[in-house]
Amino acid sequence: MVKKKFKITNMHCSSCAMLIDGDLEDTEGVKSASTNFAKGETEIEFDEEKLTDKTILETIKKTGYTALPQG
Amino acid sequence: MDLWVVFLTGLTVGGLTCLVVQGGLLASTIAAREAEDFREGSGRKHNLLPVLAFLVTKFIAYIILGFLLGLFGSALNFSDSSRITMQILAGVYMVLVALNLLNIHPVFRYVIIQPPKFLTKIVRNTSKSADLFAPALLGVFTIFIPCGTTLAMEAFAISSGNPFWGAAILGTFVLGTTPMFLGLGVLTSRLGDAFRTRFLKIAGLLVLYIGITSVNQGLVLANSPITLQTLAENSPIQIDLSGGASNQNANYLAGQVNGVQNVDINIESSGYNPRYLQVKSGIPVKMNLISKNVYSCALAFRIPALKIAKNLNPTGVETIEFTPTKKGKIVYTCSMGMYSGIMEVI
Repeated sequence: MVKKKFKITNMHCSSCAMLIDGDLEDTEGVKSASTNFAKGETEIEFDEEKLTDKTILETIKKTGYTALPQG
Repeated sequence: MDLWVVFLTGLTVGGLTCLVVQGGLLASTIAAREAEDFREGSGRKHNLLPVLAFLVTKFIAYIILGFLLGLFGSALNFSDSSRITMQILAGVYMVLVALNLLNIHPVFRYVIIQPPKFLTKIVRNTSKSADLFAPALLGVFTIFIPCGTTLAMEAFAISSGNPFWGAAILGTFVLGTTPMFLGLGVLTSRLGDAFRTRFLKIAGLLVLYIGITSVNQGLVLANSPITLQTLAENSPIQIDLSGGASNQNANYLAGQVNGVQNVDINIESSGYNPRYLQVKSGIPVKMNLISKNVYSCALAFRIPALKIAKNLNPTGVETIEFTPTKKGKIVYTCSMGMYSGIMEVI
């Protein structure tokens, strides 16, 4: 399990954060996702063996938002 | 009360923040129900009924919420000064939300209250349910996931300080959002990003307008020397709509009988008539407040500078007497600062 933060650029209200959390947590391998609208970032705990950063970025993109990896 | 602005805000932002989130949740519960039906062997499509159930319960939930917020506001509204503070704070909050919607700077995102995770989990689980009552339940739950504009409207409902106005404000707002939801079946395809941004800007400007007028109403009520009205008066660019008639026109000056200046002010549902008058300093003024079938807060008549407060009957005449001693402009206004006029002491 690893914890990683991603920047999300185009959320326009706090409900977007809810949608992103929802879709991520429905993804196999994600233990938890916590998106913060004010900071414009999401913290995801996931299983590295089942998921890559790329899949996560794509999941967020499918929800309708642009995500970037963060150091 | 600018209910039409509230409606327009609902209409514009309803197409977006609300539809993007709540529409998505609603669509998913409809889809869950259809999948269930499909398994049971019926291929029924039911879009309208769940959408209607969702909208009706949402409408009722927000009316109740508005009523409670207005009640909360009226509890805070124990004195004119607490009302002024509340009005200005709510206005400032709305301006901050508007700056967030207009995307002026990311720092304004912090004014948006993010609902706690356990609440959003409940909402999400409801949206996945195939239960017949899921759409109706979802409608009620939308009060837990307010978007920025909804928060601004809730602040506005509190600042109205009246449960019925609070209910009217949130009810009107939700009503404004309904057309977009009814078109959900047609509109399920995603709205483009550019389109969304433009709509958010319109909503932002409307919220900005409500916020600024709310702050201004507070300032008028507080008898502040700086309000939108005084700024407009002192602006170097004056637009004269009176067709050349001068403010010094004798018509504005109160008539005198037996050493008393008589002034009639007609209280109308939409404000005071006249909105400008002149009285002479040092001479007693008898001001008749005449109301006839008035049903608005114009009945709560205030002259903050003279500490005069009269709550009038819908129909009737009340007389107040005072002697102006200082030359200058005195504002008369309703208790919410929505309607006002100027009495100039010369």
